[in-house]
Amino acid sequence: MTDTKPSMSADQSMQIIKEMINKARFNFSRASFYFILWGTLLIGAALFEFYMGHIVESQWAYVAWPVVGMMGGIASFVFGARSERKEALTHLDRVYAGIWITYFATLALFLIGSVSQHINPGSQVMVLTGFPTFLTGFVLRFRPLIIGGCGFWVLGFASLFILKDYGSLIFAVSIVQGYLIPGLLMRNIKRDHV
Amino acid sequence: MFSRLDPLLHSPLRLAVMSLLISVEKADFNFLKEKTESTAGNLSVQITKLEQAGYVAVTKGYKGKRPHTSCQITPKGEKAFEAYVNSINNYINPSK
Repeated sequence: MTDTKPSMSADQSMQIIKEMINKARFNFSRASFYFILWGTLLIGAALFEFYMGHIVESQWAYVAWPVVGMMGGIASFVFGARSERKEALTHLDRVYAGIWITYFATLALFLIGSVSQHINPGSQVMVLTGFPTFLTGFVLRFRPLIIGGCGFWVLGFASLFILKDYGSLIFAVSIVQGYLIPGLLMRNIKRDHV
Repeated sequence: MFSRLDPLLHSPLRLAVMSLLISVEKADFNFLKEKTESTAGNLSVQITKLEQAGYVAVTKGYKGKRPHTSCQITPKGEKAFEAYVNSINNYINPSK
């Protein structure tokens, strides 16, 4: 685009405004990276825990959680820093960031408390994860995340009462429906109303 | 009665920059360059004009070792943009 045109018509001005506002919309493709990354890592950790805990019967079944936590944290930080260099901060980006920062801060405190009290936090983590997932779907008007958030609540609540021995597998299923499937659906989305 | 269009905004690149900035909280210089498909030199000149008019606030600094420039629309810029859009709407739909 140059600035040498002597004059523009009102229609041309409106066209530029619409085109630029469209270009500055929330980047679904970028947001999908986090859901796919964390979805894959958490499913891997849950399956590892189930295999080590129920089949190998190892006492080290939990070890995958801090490992994937660190891997996901580093990958998210690097990706976020790279995206920031070539993107703009939209108003929705700020809301989106606020929701997930609140969640991670709450989750960190909750996990530290649970582990120090020797309580398995799986069910409660699922219920807690329903909150940011549902809210993100609601704000972005993206139904798969709304359904995923509800799925976290249902599966988390159900896992408190049934199939306690299969908590890791239920957790993996909750992540598939709440993170991985919405993330994959979100990847190529182009929306005109957010 | 048609109101006079703000000459500062009635130019393709400056209008494009303002339209992008009205949609975001702040934007990197490279983001604006990419989205407006302009050259760095031309974009820089136009942003300076918008900054001098008080429509845009420019922050220059470093991210790591790389120089970094970010731009943000000011309240004065928001008002000017809104007035410009209203005027354009009057031209397009004079009966309204």
